[in-house]
Amino acid sequence: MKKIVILFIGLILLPFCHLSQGKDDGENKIAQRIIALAPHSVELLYAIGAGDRIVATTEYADYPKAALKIPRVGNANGIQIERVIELKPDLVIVWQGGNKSADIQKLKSLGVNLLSTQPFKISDISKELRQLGKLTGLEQQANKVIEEVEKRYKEITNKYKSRSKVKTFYQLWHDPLTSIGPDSWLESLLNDCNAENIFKDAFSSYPVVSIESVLVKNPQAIIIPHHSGDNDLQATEKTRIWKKWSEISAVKNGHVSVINGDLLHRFTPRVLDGLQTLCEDIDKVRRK
Amino acid sequence: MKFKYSFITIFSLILLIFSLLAATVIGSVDLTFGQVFETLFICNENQNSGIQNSCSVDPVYQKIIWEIRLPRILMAFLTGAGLSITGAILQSVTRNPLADPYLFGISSGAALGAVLAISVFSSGIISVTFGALSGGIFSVILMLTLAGRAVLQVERLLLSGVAVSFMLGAFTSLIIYYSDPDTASTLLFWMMGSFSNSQWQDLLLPAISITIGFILFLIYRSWIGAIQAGDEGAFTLGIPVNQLRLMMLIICSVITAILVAQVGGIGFVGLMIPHISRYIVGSTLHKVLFMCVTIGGSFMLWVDVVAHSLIPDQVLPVGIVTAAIGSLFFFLILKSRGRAL
Repeated sequence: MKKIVILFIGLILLPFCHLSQGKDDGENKIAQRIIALAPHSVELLYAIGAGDRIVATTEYADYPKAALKIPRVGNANGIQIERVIELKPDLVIVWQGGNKSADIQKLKSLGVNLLSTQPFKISDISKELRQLGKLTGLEQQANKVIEEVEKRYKEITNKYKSRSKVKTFYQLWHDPLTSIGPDSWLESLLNDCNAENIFKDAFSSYPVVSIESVLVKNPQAIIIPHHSGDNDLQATEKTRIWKKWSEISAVKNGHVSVINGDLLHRFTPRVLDGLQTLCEDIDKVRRK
Repeated sequence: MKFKYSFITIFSLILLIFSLLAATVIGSVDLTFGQVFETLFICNENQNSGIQNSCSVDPVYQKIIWEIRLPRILMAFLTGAGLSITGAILQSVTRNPLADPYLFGISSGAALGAVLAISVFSSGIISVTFGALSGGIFSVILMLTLAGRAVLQVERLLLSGVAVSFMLGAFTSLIIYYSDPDTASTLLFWMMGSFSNSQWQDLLLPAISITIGFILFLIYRSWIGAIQAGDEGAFTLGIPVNQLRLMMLIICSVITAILVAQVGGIGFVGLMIPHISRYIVGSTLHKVLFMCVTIGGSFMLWVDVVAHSLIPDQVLPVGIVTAAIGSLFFFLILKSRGRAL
C-alpha cells in the first residue's frame, strides 16, 4: 500500500519536475524547436530565416509554400496539447485572440516556454520580428526585415498623410453584414491610408450593421475583401447587395472595390502589399 | 363578456396598426409619421408617369421605406403571427402547454438544411432558404416514419419529436465544428434569426401558407376544441381524432418550415403568445387565434425594432431579443395571473 501511495505522489509530482527543468535551460537558450500556433508568426520566422526550425503549426499557415509541409497540431477549434508536448518544443508562439484562451492557459500551466503575439497595428509586426530575432539568435536578419518594413510603411503613410479624409465602409463579411469598429487591425490600416472608417464609433470591434445605417453614413468608398476560400456564390453576393443603392456616393461614383483580403488580414510584411492596394483604391476617390 | 371581447379586439387591432407604423418610423434614419404616411399613400412610386403629386419626401427615404423597412416589417409580422397560431393549434391538439412550433425538430431540421446548403454544397447551387425548407420538411417526415404507429399517441408523438430534434441537432453541430470561421459565423447568425435580408418576393410563400392555415384552423375550430377537451369525448362525437391531429401537425409543420427557412430559428414566440392570448380572451379557439395574429405580430415588430435600435448602428439577432424580452414579459404575466387567482 505504501509503495502505491509513493508511486502515486511521484506521478503527481512528475509534471512539476519537468516544468522546473524546462525553465532552467529555457532562459537564454537559442530556440531550435519552435511551434508557431499563428500563421503570421510562421511567415515572420521564414522571413528572418528561421523557418526550418518550426516543428509544428496550425491550419491556415500557407505562406511561404514551404510552410505547407510543416506538421499541423490544431486549427481554429483548438490545439492538440498532447502533440505539442510530445514534440518537445523549446519555444511555443501563441496567438492571443487567434488561439483558444483555454489552450493558452493549459500550455502556460504545463510550463512550456511561451511567446504570445497579439498584433493590432503595423508597428506590432516590427515588435514581433525583434522578439523572434532575439529568441532565435537571428537578430541581424530580423533587423534587416524590420528596416525594410518600416521604410516601406513610412513611404505609404507619408504619401497619403496630407491628403483629404475619405469616408470608407469596410465590408468584412456580407451575411450578416459585418464591418469593423474601433481598435481593430483593419481600422488602423484604413487610418494609414487617411481614410475614415464610417463605423469608428461602433460598440464593438466587429459590428454587425444594417444596410440602412450604411446608407445614412453615405461612404465615399466601399472596400470588400475577397478571400481565397470564398465560393462563387459568396463572391458575387458580396458586391451584389450594393448594386441597387446608387444613392450611396461610393456606388454612384463606382468606388466599390474588391481587394485581396488574404493580404490585408495577415500580420506580416506582406500586409504592406495589401495596404498599398487599399490606399490606391481609396485614393481614386480623391482623384475624381 | 361580449362587450369585453369586442373591446379587446378593437384594442389589439389598433395596437397592431400602431406597431406597424411605429416600426416603419423607427430606424437609423429618423423619419416622421407624416413622411411615412406620405410615402405609403400619396407619393407615387412611378415618378416617370408625369402625374403630378404633392410628394415632398426625399426619394432616398422613400426607397428606404419601400425596399428595406416594409419587407422587413411585414416579414416580422408574418413570423410573429404564423408562429403564434401554429403554437396555439399544436398546444390544443397535443393538449400539452409546452408544445411549440419547433416541437417536431423543425428548427433543427431547417438548421441542418441551411448548414448543408452553406458549407457542403458550397458552390451555391442550393440556396439557404431552399436548404432550410427541405431540412424542415425532412425532419417532420423522419419523425413520422420513425415514430410509426406511435404517432397515434400524443405522448409518444412528442417524445419522437424531441428525439428527432436531438438527432439532427447533433449533425448540425458536427458540421459547424468542422466548417471555417466565416461560414460558422454566418450559420450562427442565421440560427439566431434575422429579418434583415427580407425581400418582397420572400413574403409571398409565408403569406399564402399562413392565410390558408388560418382559414383551415377556423374551419376545423370546433373539432380542434373537442380534441382539446379529450380524445374520448371527441371520438364519441364522431370526430376522426387521429387523422385530424395528423393533418393539423402537417399544416403547422409546413407553415413553420417555410417561416424558419426565411428568417431562421426564432424561439419562444410560438410558445408564449398562445398562452398570453388565452389569458386575455379565454380558451375559445377562434378568439385565441385572432389574438395570436395581432399580439404575436405586434410583439415581433417591437422585437425587430429593439434588435435594430438597442445599440446604435448595430443589429442584434432577433432570436436573442425575443427570448430576452419574451421571458421577462412571460414572468410578469405569470405573476399577475398568480395574484388574480
